[in-house]
Amino acid sequence: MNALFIPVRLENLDWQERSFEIRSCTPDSRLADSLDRFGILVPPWVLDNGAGGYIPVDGFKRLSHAREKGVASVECRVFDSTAARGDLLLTRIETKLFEGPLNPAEKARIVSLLWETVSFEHLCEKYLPVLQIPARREVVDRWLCLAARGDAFLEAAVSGKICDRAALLLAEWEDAAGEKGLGILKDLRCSASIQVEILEGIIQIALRDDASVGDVLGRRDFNAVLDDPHLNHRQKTQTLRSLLTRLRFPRLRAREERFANEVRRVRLPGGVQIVPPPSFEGDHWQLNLHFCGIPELQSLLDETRRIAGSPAMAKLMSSTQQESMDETGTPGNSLTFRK
Amino acid sequence: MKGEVFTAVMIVKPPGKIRVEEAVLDSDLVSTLRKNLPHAKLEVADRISEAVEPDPDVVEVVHFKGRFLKSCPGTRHYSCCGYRILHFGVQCNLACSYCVLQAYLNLPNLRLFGNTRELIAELESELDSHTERLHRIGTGEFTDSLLLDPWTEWTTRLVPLFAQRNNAVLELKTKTNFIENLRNLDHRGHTIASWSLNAGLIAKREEPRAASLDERFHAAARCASWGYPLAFHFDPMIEHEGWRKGYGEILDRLFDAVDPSRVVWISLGAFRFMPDLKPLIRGKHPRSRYIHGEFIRGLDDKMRYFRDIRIELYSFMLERIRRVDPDLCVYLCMEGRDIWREVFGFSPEDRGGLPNMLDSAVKERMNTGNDFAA
Repeated sequence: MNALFIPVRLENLDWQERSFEIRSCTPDSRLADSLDRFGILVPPWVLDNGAGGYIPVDGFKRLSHAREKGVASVECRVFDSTAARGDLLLTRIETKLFEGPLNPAEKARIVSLLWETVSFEHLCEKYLPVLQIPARREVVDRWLCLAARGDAFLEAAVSGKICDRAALLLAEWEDAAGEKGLGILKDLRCSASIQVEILEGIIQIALRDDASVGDVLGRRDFNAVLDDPHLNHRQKTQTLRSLLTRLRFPRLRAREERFANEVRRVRLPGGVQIVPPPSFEGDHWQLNLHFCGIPELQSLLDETRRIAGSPAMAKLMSSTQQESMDETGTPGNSLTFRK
Repeated sequence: MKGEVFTAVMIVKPPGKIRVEEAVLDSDLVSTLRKNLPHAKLEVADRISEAVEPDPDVVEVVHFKGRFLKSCPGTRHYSCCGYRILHFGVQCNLACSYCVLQAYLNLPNLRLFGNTRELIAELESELDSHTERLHRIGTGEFTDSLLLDPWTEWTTRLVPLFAQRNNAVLELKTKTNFIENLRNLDHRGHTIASWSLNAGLIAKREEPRAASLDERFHAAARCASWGYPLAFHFDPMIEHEGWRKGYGEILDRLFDAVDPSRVVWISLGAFRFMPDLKPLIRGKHPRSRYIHGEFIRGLDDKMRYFRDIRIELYSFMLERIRRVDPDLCVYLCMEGRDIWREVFGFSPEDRGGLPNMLDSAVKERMNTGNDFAA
């Protein structure tokens, strides 16, 4: 591709043509400060459109800043009109890939541009490893969805208000649900892992119930947590996680609650704790004793031995007290969920 | 239905290509395949790569270099049946949505082991070197036992071999009705014809290319009429709306179709899966919602239904089976002592272990292996 460094009058730029743009969705203040102090140090790229005008290729912010400052012309690297747009795009992406870590907005845009330009095999082989994106079709689809989403999603991801993975999950949701999910995560201000846990919980419940994520987000109990004026964002996060777990694992949660009730009924002495196996799977239970000195230990052991032989202890460890379940698997009492 | 002649057509079509490794080109298996698939295209290669594109039209025949006899992949956390697998091939194209073979991404095609003489030699050597032991051996772990039998005639070699051994029984586990080769074999009651069964809705939705349940029952009844002992496996049991009705009906239909006294055992196993299988099922079978059920991570790192659900499933089935035949051997596949105790009131260890329970069932219902101590 032939290119020359020549001054380009900004009035001759086609400002509407943004097909080469890879937005970073980051604040422009630092760049603006640098441009004010030092001017344009690296010439932007433009493509001669063959009709006396130019199409911006790289340096959108620099060019916009110059225009805002009333600059008439800027020295640019000008590719002549015979340059193939696809080749120019790949060259522009190539330079971008080596500029440093890319943020989610830039990655999404690059994936979307490459999707239009190169084969899937080429994308997987050459570009996705550099972008640190797994070379799987469903993953690429998510990045394409994210690229197609509005700026609100990209800006939230770039600013760290939501993590990359949460952004990718949300991007696949239908429009209204996606917006609502984004709003919820912004309000909750929770960690990346909890964001993903919440979104995946919602997705799993929707898939199980053959409903949309919008249906889950529209549940009355769900919104009661979000709208509760007495809860701060941490309390809301915890309550929401608890609700989602209850919805996702109703029988496990019912068993946990029954176990907690039975433990109270057994009246274990202070310093004694019975821990069931994780998810009650298997038969390895734990007994934890906390004591200060031998007399207290002996007393705890005596009391624990008495409890170990009681019917209450057998009941505590048994699942036979479970509520009978109906054929949809919903426990017959204690838990009722309403949309 | 009992004894009725029934011919069914399944959706599985004969392979159109036989891809063979040079080393097994002259094997009996390849000769048999070529005889039974005269229109199939033959492709010969030095070595058939593992990472090939999926081709549902091909059957690969390779030279297998590993051990043909394997132990059932049990874990220390859950009781294993002690069944041994005669590994004669890999993959299945019945396309059941829950099947673990989907995760064998590097072996996407039907693959048979052509060095059958080595396989038979290893099998005979094992049976002969441990004559004091009752061997329960099956072929249905990494593939369906009968899926390719119309073209391999594999059962015509295996069944007579087991017939000559007093210390061994063969279990052929299938979801097909490809039983014609079994008809006139001298089996002497040493081969168990067994079927995987499921609730009607699950069979219809999730086992689309398998024989229908009616076809399976008809096939079982025919095998029984030819003197074969039978077994049935409700595995994977899948919780779904109306599961009690669904599984109850299948049990009713089963015992309408076959005499319970001909059944050596019935196994029950709730759906479990390696976590990696979930995205595959989601991707390939997006309408299969059961994968989003109440699964927890088991002690073997597989995802399993929360224990109370498993207990409900198993207890229901056990009670219904006991109504028909209180003595029929029912066992749980890969379950812990605690689950056994809650379902059966005892654990396998109380009865000498699960393998011992199954050996006893063989002796009692098949009159085989009575020369050995339990």
